[in-house]
Amino acid sequence: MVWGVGSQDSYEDIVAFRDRMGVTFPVLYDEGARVQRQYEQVRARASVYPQDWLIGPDGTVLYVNNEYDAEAMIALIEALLAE
Amino acid sequence: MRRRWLPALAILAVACDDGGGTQGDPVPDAGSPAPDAALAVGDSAVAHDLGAGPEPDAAREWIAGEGVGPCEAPADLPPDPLARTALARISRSRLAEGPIHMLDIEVDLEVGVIYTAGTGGLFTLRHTAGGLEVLGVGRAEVNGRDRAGDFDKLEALGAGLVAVSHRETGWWIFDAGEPRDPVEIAAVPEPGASGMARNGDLLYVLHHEGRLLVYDIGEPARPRALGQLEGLGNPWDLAVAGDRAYVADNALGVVVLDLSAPEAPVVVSTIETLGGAQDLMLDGDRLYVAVGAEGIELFSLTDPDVPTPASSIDYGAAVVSVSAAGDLVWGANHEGVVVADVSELEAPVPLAAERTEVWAMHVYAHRDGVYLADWTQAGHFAYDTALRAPEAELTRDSVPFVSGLGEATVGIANRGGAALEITGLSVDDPRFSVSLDRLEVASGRVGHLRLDFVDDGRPVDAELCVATNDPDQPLQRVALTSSSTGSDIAVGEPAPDFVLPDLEGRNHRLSEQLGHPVVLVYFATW
Repeated sequence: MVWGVGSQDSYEDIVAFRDRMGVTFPVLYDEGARVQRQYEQVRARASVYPQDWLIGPDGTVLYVNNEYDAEAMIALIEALLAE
Repeated sequence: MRRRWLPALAILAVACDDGGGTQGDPVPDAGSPAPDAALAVGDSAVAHDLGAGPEPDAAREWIAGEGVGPCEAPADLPPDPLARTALARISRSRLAEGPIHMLDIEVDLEVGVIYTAGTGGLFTLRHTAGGLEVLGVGRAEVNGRDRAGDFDKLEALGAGLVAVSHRETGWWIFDAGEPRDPVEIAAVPEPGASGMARNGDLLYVLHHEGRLLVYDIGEPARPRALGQLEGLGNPWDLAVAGDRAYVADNALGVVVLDLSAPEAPVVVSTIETLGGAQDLMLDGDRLYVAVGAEGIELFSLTDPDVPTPASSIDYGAAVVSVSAAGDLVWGANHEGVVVADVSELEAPVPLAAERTEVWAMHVYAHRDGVYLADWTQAGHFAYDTALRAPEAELTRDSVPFVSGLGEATVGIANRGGAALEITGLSVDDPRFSVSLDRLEVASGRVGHLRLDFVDDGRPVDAELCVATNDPDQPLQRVALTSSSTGSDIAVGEPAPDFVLPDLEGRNHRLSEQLGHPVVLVYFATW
């Protein structure tokens, strides 16, 4: 399951962004970054987007990005799907 | 090398295979790596060789990197055939209001005016010896309030008229005959509008919900609905020639329509494309289709009802727009512009790529050059067809070394039209050794650099330096870092449960996904 989450923009902007991108997975709205703040209170670089968390089938965090690295993420997802 | 942040959602295509276009916003350089942290996913090996071809490692012969040479730019670089010749920073123009995201661009050759449209309005520009000058802006009022534009697509109708559309609000016709003051002359407030194409007095308007609407614009100020076709998927753009139309219909591919009865189009055929069809360009008996991560796909229209796949050009990043003039086909792939020689339909030759500062969204080719809608700016690029040069593109610009990972591979693609020579290699950390599978990468091919790492537990903060005969960027660097987390929640800890609504108001609870992996991507629309 992939969830995109918008927390930094207005609901309208997130809807427009979702539509413009042709995104087909669910996009959630985290108003006021309520959930996001549970996930990260102190980051080395809070301004880096996107912020990715990979959560395993058992509910544990498998990966948190501190910078954008699509390849590392893809490798992890592929490894998970292969399990 | 400038570190670029790939489109935010690019990775998701792997997880959900939506085949659609992806895009994000540029983010400043990441700076220094955070503290070291181990990462392991069961016993699965973490593969890093995503840019590599199908060739297994074992089949390759590796050449030791030390013997190749120091990482210095060669003295005798060939001249660079591709250069930006003009730039207009629209977001800094006195006419800009609010955010500027230019998504489309076209030239009205009759009046010599360039139109570019997106969030922020419809801008008119003129290209003279002095450069690209922003002349005017047109904005539409929606429901009594100025949306400051907000257009997705534009279609030059000739004689200074231009149609613009936006997927939420509908479409408009502007009279830009006086380009310093484009005036709205017609508004069709029908949500869902997408790409448009003019055919005589008719305007075909695609709708994202899978429709094609036909309007009579013989009187441009009074568009009249004539008919429609349903049953398309999520179409993005179309091109019309005679009584045939070709629709770039994302996951469906290319849909061919019969327009013999202009007000009642009929589907003739649907042709799968290598990736989601985002944009297309008709050129005589050829069709060029931007197919996202698969690059540009070339079709023969010898049978105009059944486009026949002929070849494709891989450009690494997702190509979202395509345009052609003469033997050159151009693409925008978010990261910049790309150009190829398509004089042989079955054997296109990639020629060059030029990265831009922002997000390259749309191209319009004219003679030996191209106009580019580059998010906050518009540019013109020219290609010197007399020259050929290599163009090196490393498939990654950073490699995080996770615990236990002893090696990683970085691809080095040649997106240029001449042989790429690797002339130097070095890593500024003695725990690494580097090797390569070839010293010369042919045009359109990918070579491989292998890093072997002796992990002594200390953090990694090093750099791989690669020297080539690419005139654009003879020195490129790959950051080698420790995989890390700066988050409060450490890897291996339980993820806090939450419930969040989606954009349609349905609630989603994380714990309901137990048993399935979840990728959570916090994005920003800017």
